[in-house]
Amino acid sequence: MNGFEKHSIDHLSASSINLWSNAPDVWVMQYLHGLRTPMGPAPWRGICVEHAVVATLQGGSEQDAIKAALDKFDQRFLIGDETTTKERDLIQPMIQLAVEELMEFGKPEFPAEGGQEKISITAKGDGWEIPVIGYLDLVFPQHGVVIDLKTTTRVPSSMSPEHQLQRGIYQKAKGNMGVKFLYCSAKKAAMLEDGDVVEILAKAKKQITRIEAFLRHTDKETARLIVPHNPDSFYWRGSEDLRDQFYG
Amino acid sequence: MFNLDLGSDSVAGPFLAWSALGTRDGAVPQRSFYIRSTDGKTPFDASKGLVFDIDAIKTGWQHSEGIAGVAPEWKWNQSVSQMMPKPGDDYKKGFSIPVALGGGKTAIWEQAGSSVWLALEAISPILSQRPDATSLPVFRHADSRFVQFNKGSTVVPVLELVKWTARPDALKEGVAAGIALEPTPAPQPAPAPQPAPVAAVVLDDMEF
Repeated sequence: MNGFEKHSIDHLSASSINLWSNAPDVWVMQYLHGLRTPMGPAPWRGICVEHAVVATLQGGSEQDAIKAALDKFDQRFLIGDETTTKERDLIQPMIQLAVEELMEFGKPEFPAEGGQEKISITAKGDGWEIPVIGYLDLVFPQHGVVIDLKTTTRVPSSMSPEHQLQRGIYQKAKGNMGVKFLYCSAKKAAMLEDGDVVEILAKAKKQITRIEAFLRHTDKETARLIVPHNPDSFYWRGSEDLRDQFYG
Repeated sequence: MFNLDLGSDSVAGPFLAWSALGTRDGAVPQRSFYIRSTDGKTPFDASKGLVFDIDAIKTGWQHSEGIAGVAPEWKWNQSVSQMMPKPGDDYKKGFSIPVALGGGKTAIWEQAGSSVWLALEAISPILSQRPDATSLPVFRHADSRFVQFNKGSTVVPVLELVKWTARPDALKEGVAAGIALEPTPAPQPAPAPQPAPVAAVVLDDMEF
């Protein structure tokens, strides 16, 4: 039995591999013990913007989409503080800018059954194999391009290694299409397409190999006791109580 | 949801409040709730549950000079989902929530400071799961938790959802509460002496 089978892990994703690399203590808590850190206002803002952009590109009213996005945000963060209000205030300009950037691509296509298109590639090693999955934000077959929308307060000049891995997985799965990431702040946007896919996936495979070996040699309680723990990691921000309960 | 009627600021109380350290005169134990009224401060056992009128929540910033008899100044947000910028350094985040105490009694939990704000933030995800547009949550004071900040610390009341319930009569207004809006005029008694104004106690959260 390989490590993934031992722990009933039937797939990985870019975010799972990145979390393993950056915060193995959070990874152990989430993926072995099933305790999720709550989604903060910034990623939730991103989801609200993305839904609104899709609705608008599909022919809906941008104003209605903005209102729906704000309602969706408020539904989650009913009691606003300075942080949530700051994120909320970014929703409208981010939607407007993203729509402006993406309008030229026309209507994105989605699976007939609804939702986002799921992609899967398989990583294989010595005695193990595991699907690595992802979900595509915007697919424009007529332009031969897949676009992942990233909302951010600062538009980067190059993609982070974490995003490069996500792009590499998507690119591998959609070999005949280009895969680009649209970074969008409230004021600025940039379309990026960084990283060599072969190199990125080779590096990812090394990490996946380590995950499998770690899992093969530990049970989940031992993993909790021995995994390096960084209580100051920003991954714990907003989840300090959970951190203290789990790691003491 | 939860859009506000900013209405009048002049609420008469009684007021529910949280005390992290208790009062110096010993009337209110540490880590407990109490009721502040014209009769003074009375410890209140919130472990049995309180109905929160979440349709009437207000959030905002409170400024208090800490002078007895001087009501704190509140700047209320237009919507509970949006926090206005801090009006000044000496303002604290706070809120106002009408609560049903049981036995037909009500109070206003109107307090500012990080301990009570953290308590409100902690129940916010529960409020998002409101089963319908009219049910109100019943919360009980289940525990307290110590929170260490970079500078100072506080004790936060841990509120646990007991259930969702229909709006109690005590939190209804007018006809909805079975009260005639135009009662037969009764002979007017001689004006009673006005009670002394409720002291505007500084409801601090004991940060230090």
